[in-house]
Amino acid sequence: MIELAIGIILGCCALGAGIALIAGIGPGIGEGNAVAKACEAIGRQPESKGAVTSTMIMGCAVAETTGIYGLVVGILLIFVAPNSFVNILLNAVSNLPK
Amino acid sequence: MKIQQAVWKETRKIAIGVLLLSCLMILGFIGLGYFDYTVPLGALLGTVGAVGNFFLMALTVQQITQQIHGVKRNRPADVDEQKENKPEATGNDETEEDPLTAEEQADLREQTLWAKKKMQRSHALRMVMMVVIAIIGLKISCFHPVAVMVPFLFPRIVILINSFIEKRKGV
Repeated sequence: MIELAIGIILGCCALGAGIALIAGIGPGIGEGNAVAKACEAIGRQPESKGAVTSTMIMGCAVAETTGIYGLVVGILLIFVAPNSFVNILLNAVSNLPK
Repeated sequence: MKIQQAVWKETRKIAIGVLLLSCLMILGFIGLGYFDYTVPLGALLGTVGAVGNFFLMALTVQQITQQIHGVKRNRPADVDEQKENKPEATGNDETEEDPLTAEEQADLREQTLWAKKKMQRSHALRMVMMVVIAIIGLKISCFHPVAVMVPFLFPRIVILINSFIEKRKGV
């Protein structure tokens, strides 16, 4: 029974990490689109290159953090959460009245 | 490749902000009583990862903007002459759309597509780099895992604080 519970914990952690890492896809697409539009703007007005570069760097950094949030959550779910949850489960089982 | 002044300026801002926030985080660890030698080491690794990620991103943006040459440079002189001789419809230059020839539009589309792919590839590679740094921080016992992961979130906070300060200065 405990093995089954541990299996469910590990499976759910892996599933959660996979779902959290989906957050990395959006910023990649978004950044690509933002840069594409910025390039279009530079293409039309090459003299605005400096201003567009600065604004784009900041915009991309803000967009990217969303992906990093997902990455942090996913990595914690893979490497930290399973041990913690299994320890909690084992403690709870050992404290059960016999 | 020469690194532009804008890239250095923005990276310096972010680096100073992330370092300050990392120091605050270490103070938080001291306050909570979890401080040991792994915390500053982890904070250092996390800070290097966050600032390195930002710098590489800024470098990619610089590369892209340097490669984009602008469609107007390809335009033959007679097209510009025709445009100059054309009578003004409204007299308002700012609101009028600058028409591009079919060739210029195709060139612009090609450049845009290239830029998009380059940025997406760079994003994927930087994400892999962040994963590697995070795994190093979690697996090697001389780094505190939380102290490695938290600085990854600092650049956004620094940008928000900066924009708030600039807004206040503007007012």
